[in-house]
Amino acid sequence: MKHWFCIGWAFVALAGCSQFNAVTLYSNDTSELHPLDYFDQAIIFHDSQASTVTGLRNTTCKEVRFEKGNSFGGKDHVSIEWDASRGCKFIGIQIPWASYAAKDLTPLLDCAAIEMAIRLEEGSLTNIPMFFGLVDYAGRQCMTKINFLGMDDGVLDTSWRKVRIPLRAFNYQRRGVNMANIKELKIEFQRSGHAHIDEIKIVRHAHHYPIEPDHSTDVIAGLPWKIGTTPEEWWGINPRYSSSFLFGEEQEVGGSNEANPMIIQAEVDTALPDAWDQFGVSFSNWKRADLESLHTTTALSFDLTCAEVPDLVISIHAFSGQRRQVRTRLQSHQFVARGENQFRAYIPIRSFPGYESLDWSALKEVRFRVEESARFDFANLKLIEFRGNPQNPVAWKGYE
Amino acid sequence: MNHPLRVVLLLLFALAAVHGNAQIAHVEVIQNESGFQLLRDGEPYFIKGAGAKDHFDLLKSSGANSIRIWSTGRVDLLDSAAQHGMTVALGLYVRPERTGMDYNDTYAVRSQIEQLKTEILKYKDHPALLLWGIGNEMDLRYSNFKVWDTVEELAQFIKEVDPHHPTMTVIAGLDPSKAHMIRSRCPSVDILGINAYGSIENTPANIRKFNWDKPYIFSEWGVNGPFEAPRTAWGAKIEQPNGIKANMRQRRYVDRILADSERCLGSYCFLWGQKQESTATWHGMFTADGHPTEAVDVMQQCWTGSWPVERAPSILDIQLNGIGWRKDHVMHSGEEGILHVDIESPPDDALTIEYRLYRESQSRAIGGDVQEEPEELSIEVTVVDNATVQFRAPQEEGAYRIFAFVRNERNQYSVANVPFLIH
Repeated sequence: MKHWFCIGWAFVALAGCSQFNAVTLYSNDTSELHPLDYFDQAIIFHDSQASTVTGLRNTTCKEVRFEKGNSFGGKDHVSIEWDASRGCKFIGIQIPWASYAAKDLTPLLDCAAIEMAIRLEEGSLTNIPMFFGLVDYAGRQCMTKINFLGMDDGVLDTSWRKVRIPLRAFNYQRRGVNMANIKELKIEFQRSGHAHIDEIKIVRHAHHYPIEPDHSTDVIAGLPWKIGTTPEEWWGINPRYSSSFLFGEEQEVGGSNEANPMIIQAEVDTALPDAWDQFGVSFSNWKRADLESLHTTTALSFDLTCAEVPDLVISIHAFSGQRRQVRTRLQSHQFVARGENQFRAYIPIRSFPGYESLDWSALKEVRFRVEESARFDFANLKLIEFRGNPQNPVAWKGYE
Repeated sequence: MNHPLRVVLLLLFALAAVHGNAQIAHVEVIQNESGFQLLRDGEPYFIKGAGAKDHFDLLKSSGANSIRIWSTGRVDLLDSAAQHGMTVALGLYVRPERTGMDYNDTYAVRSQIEQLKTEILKYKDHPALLLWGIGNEMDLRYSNFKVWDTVEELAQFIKEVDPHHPTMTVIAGLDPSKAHMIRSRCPSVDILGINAYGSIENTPANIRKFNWDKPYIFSEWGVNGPFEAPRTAWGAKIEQPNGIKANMRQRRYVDRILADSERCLGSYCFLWGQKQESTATWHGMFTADGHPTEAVDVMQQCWTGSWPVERAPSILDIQLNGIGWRKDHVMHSGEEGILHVDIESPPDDALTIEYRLYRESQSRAIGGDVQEEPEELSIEVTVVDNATVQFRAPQEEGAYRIFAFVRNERNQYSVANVPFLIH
């Protein structure tokens, strides 16, 4: 027995030695210190004696009180019962913690969260209608809500549960809130409910969720810009239901960077009931296309093969803006003959009536409506540079 | 555990499992030579539905077989639908960008997805569930196309955990960019839900023009919405009388919904209930105090092919000072006005007309978002004849709207209103 006791101690001692790391006697390493260690205003609400809460006046829509029983910490906690249907515009409370001092949260933005304990008076919720705002001393506020990922077990119920709201989750950048000069935490309530809130404080929190870049817009930074180089970008061409427009055999563009391979063969009889008389194409794979910086020096260009130039109404559509489209009709001074039955159209953007009011940073598509029965091939649609007179586009000598 | 007891328990467990599964209807979309079809437990199921939260008895007796709800907040609606032998297109509330949701914020996105996954698991075995509606009108005034990635992730999750119910996402009207986005970014979406009011006229043709190659449902349809309505010179939206709306609903159901048997799997009319949207009567088929309007009769005709025996009255025209509802009406402070309605009703029905005066709504909410009801004002009328009254216009300048509510002894209503300006 004594023998085994000695072996055991020897094992423990050896294992312990392997845990020791060499350290210098006068180490300056402070890497384990967290920005929160330098922040002495982390307690937002502890109890009614230690903390300040405003907005306590009861109204027809809310009843706020400090309850002593079943608190999470401290001597009491906030109980709030609310019902927005009784006609109040704002239901909420404010906590100007640290005695109204201006709080600098900037060092904590990426590494801390507001944590609190919440329980419901009854029932359970995964989505509670409570919103949290940080208000700066200029009165600007950024809001967020309790996210599913910030809740213990993703639910709130009648037991105290901890909730964390990462400081990053507040939309302070968009709202222009000065996070170095925060006055108070505001809690706003919507719809109806009865919740108990306690022990609100700022805690360490590793936030692993980045804000991703937005890829919804393609900037057209150079011309020419080919429009609709794949069938997926076109609409109005569906041989199962209509033969008005068909894709022609894609043209061989060789090494040319400027030619568009897509050809549309049109044979439209507008006298037929429900004849398809319109096709359209995205500027940039159905994303927003930003032509803002170039649109005044740009023209729409395409080639037509036809015995007679068709009567076309051309419209450019934007995703956003007060005005969503501008349109014009193809006119004789906008195309030139380039051989037998071969024409090239030039339609300067500035020739579209009202073009100034379109949001050129959010272009969606260009549409072509055939007004009268016609037969033609349509090809090589693109945006090109144009610096001539928009009322006489063919006279400009700068093309190609 | 001894052997016989183990066998009994296993049998009981198996029986319970079979019983549980028997309640889940298997719903699928199939494609055959005549087009797409929804099958429920192997039987063709054309959706005769309504956006509805109550009046289920009347809904069922009017011929409907399904309701659409927009979020998972109320399980009692599923239970109630099941009790009435109706199914549910259950909405998963995907926050639209216009409510402040940032689809570049991976924390908000992840959180929303995980929360909705718990809802899917909670409701996937409900016997009333027909299909999932992933989001509603997220495309309205949106700018970040990543919302479709959220839709796809949820649709994929549904495919993994719930093989019995198809997936749908719902857009506010069809356009080629939305059709492309959903087609290319949401391959796990089976059905396109289209909320179409005025645009219902072009939707069957556009669904083909815009290359949507799967089936669709009119997830909301009805009369032209306030956003499509003509306006007065002072910006008030002009609402059609109930009688005009009724005819419009009936025509659209036959010509646009039933006519597209190749692609359209059915529809949910909007709204089997009441809500404030520009006015309190625009979309709702019931009055605010829960009485049916003539729109309910129309839906019965649409769903069953026959009219109810006891019909509601119908206001076909309303005139203020001899000028019809389509025109602008301007009055002076305190001026006497004459309001007249043209009513069609079964000859034996005794009718009562109530008049209500409201300030014009100032709400700028869009997309069915919640709107505040405008203030009701007191009004005194002097009866001129059965369909005409005289009233004194308000003293205070501003925009107003006067309503006529016609009801019969069975409390069936027809409603019409005229906006007017006092200056």
